[in-house]
Amino acid sequence: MGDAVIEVKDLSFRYNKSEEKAVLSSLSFTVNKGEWIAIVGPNGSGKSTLANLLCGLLKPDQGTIYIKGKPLNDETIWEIREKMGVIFQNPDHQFIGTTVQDDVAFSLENMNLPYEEMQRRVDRALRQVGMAEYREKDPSYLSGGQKRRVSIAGILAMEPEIIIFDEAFTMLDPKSRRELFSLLKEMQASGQLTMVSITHDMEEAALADRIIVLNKGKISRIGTPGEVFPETTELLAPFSERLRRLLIQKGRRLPDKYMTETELIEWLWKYNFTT
Amino acid sequence: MNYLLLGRYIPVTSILHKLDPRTKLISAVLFIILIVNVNNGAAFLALWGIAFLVMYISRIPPRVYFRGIKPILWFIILTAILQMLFTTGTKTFFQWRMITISDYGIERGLFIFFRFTLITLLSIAVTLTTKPIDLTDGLSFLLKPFQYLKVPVNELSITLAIAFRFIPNLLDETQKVMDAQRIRGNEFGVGSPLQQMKALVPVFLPIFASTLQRSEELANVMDVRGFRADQKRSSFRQLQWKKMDTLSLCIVIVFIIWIRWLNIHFN
Ligand SMILES: Nc1ncnc2c1ncn2[C@@H]1O[C@H](COP(=O)(O)OP(=O)(O)O)[C@@H](O)[C@H]1O
Ligand SMILES: [Mg+2]
Repeated sequence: MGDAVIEVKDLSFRYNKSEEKAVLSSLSFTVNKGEWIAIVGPNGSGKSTLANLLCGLLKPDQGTIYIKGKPLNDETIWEIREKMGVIFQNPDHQFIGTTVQDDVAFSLENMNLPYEEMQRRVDRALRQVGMAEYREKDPSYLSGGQKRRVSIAGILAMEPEIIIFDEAFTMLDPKSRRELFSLLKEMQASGQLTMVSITHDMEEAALADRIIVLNKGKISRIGTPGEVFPETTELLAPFSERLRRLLIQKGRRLPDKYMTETELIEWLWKYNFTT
Repeated sequence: MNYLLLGRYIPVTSILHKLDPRTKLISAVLFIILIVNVNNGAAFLALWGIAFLVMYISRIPPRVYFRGIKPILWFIILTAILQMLFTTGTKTFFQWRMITISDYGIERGLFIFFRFTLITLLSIAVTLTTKPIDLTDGLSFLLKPFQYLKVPVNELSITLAIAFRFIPNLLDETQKVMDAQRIRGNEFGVGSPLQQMKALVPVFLPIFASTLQRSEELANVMDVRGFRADQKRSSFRQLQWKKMDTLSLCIVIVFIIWIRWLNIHFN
């Protein structure tokens, strides 16, 4: 295994401290450098709670989160946040700047960077997400996909090592979602960026290196998409997996393993030729 | 609700739009101090001339300005009339118990009317030609010396910036809720004042709730993006003082001296 960037040890959390039942109980897992982890699970399973714990908005009742070997606490939090970007679900409530470029610069201003450095980074981040020509625009009037791009630029400008997405792509149309996923793939290619994406969308989860399945505040499964999808029924599998299972149900003989959409297409057209 | 929109920034190209917000703020403050202290017809005439000049060079039609005065027009007129009715002078035109209409009273009433309208016009000229965010930047720059008196200028300016940033969203949302209520047969702006206020309750409650929710989310975002109120932060938006600003400020000072002179000379 590579070096762990996020290490969660025995993490427990309750909102109502007088209650027995924990929202998260004794979670432990690690995320390695350059890895893309998807956290999936039904509504109310504690995914957002976990995200808020990871970025220090909530404090664990028990257990510790280590970021690059440092325990996350009041002393280390600000230093850690300079290296960590978080994107939440509703983009409309996340813009602080009145223009796209002001918003992208917000974190940089907080890092007290000199003006020229900010200009350089804002410029590069906006070009990276393809939003350079919108820099003077008011973010409230952009489309959903463009808003997400701006949020991502805001994070890229920080030159982060970790990005956490909490259902960040749920409200998008399929086309912008696909475009953003390929952007994420590109970002991850450098091997320097560790990503945790919390999602309902199994197509998004299928892109990850590993999937953590959360159920009622506990980890019910960890593994690669290939390992997790075929054996899990509690999840809504991605389209390709659902189609594969349906075809098996109808009595077709398909490989007994998870297939990506391309693999399935590849397999299907061959199958059609031989019958 | 539309009242809030009246002094809103209008993006056209004019010299006034291009000036640094600090120039406009300083000029407005100087003029306001002047207007409060002016008390003769010649000086007021010159001030009206300047007010129309400002409106002209802002390339925004005068009706936009006058719509901005409208909401407080009744207040201004009432104040002026009270002045007129309760001030005694050398020549009395009408008297009944406490009420007197005199030459001096009429003059005082008229001057009060001029003062309020001129001050409002000039303030609107600033907000119509300056983006709220630039206004905030200018303001926080000018208030910087007060930091030494422990005034939290940085916090104030980011608070203002965020407030301005969310006003349009809030108005949009209000419009949506009002439309939704209209579909359900709720009528606004009809009936007695009490009925009108009652009609607004189902509008303001959801707005209030969603604003609270929104501010919590925003606070979280600011937090994870590393905002700390007590830390020094750099600024991405830079104000730029240009030659045009120095020149404009000089012109403003010349005008002010001229009007002071008129004010003294014609007394
Ligand atoms: N601020 C809160 N206060 C109290 N309970 C909460 C709060 N946020 C979430 N919960 C509860 O914690 C549980 C997990 O919620 P959450 O982490 O939002 O799940 P998910 O993101 O997986 O849908 C749910 O039962 C939810 O009702
Ligand atoms: Mg959630």
